[in-house]
Amino acid sequence: MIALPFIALVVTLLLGVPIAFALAGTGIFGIYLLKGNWDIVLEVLKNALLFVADYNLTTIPMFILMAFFSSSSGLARDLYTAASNWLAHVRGGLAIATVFACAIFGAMSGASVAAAAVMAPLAMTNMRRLGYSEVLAAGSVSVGATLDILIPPSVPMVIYGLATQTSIGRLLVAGVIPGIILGILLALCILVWVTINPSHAPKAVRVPQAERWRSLWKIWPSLMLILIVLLLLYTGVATPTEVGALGAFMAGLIGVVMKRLTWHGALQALRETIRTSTMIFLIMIGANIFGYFMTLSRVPNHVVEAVMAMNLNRWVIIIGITVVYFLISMVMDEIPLLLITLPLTFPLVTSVGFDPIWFGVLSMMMVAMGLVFPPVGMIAFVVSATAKVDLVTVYRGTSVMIISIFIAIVLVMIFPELAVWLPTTMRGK
Amino acid sequence: MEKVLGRFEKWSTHVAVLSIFIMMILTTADAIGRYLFSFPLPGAYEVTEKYLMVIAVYLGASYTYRGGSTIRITLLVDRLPSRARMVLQVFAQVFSICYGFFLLVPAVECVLRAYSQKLTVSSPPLPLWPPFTAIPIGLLLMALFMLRDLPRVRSGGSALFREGGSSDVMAEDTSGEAGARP
Repeated sequence: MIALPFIALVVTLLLGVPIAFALAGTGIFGIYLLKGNWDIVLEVLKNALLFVADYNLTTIPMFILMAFFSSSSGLARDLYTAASNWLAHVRGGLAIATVFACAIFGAMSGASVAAAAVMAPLAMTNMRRLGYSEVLAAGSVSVGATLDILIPPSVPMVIYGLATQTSIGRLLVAGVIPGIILGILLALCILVWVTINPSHAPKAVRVPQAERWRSLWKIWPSLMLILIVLLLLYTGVATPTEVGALGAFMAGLIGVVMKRLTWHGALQALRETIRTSTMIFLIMIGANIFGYFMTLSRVPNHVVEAVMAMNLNRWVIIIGITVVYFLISMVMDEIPLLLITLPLTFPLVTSVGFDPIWFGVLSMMMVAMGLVFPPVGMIAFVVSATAKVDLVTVYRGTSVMIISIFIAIVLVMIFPELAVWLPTTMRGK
Repeated sequence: MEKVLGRFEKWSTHVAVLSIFIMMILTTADAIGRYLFSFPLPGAYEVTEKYLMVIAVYLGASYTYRGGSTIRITLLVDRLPSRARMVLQVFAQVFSICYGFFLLVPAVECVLRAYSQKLTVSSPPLPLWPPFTAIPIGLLLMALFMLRDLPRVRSGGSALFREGGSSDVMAEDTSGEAGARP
């Protein structure tokens, strides 16, 4: 009987019912099935509706607003220009610049899809003009945008922290080193790719020294913003919510001072923030209802007991989870994926002695792969739509560059310190 | 009816946008006051979570729906013949409408409980029922828009199946053709 709501969830999801509504609907069905009492169902629903009245959750709209203000203020364009000017002398330099610009933009934005939407038209136009192949261009911007998930501020990290009661501040800081490593691996991947097949990138050109420095001068407000955000998070001086609000305020202020953020742009950024945040919260409300059913059914406990009874090596468990995450992420976006799977995987992973922060970073890297992998790949969709490039071309590019994410996952698995060391040096939360 | 719905949605979205903006300013001012001047803004924390968050999320719900921001798994549906796909889309639309209207019951109960028990935030002692009123209003608007879109599923005009969403739903004509874009 307990299996029925799970089956109903899979069926409704496959039939195309919105994930938020499918989770809630089957959760309501499950709770009624177990308790047989509408009063209990209504009480759960009331709690689920008021679940958004939580200060910690305000981190999500604030990080998203920071991303949209940064984008409306044209900060991404400056970053891209500076990166491309400094790397133009390397073959494939513009693709590497795209990756680095995505990484730096990631430090001002909490949403990888926003980074893809901002960077794709910019980077693709420039790379097309200079004769880069569409495959390399689309691959670099798509996989580059996934760095946003790891580099703080990151909305999926916040959601992981909220769903597992793990310190959000430490989680965000934990993503820094793996994010930098992934950025370097992506750059190396591009270099190797264009060395093996030079037809993907034209011969390098050298940008005059004066122009390089001029472009670098333009990005100082962005670098200042990033520095302040990272410092506040690292030192624990302010809570992640306050960091988000301060970051959004500063991004908006930079835009106003530089006379780039118009009234219309600011309003649009606020509306987009409402839309993205509410979409996330509707899914979280659904996951909250379904999560209550899962707790009542004790399914997570049964799963942990069953897996423990198998006496499997803990690495077999984590590799199994990685594969399952990768497979699910091929058909589901990162936020519902995390919210649906964490109640099952998190107790399992922590019960075999893995670090919750390490698993958080690993989960982000796993969902990053799914974001650019067929058939769903939300970032691939965004790049295809915003840069007017064929989806199959995007996937051809990402299928090569995804090797870097895979290597980064293996590195973080072998050397957990890459993820857990930096948070241990923090003083605050 | 369309015009009234559109006008309500416009105002509810404006209030949601304003809430997000105030949230940013209030949290920033509170943080600066606390860390630089040892003077946190009284009530900033509770007003943010109990008032601004609730208002922003629920009054933004219909705007979110109309923007095509509902995430679905389309792996199977996209591969079906158009007739079968249509049947499943109608099913998904009806499922969503039922859920939307069903949620109104606990939403109204939240307001009534806050009102009858005189629930307040602790400091300042502001009543909780006014922000909680945003919950049934926002959900009702979303449910009504979903209901309005039911006959539009056939023509592909339902916002539930709009991929990625429009960048500016507010700019759309709310006089009747809002959801009927190709």
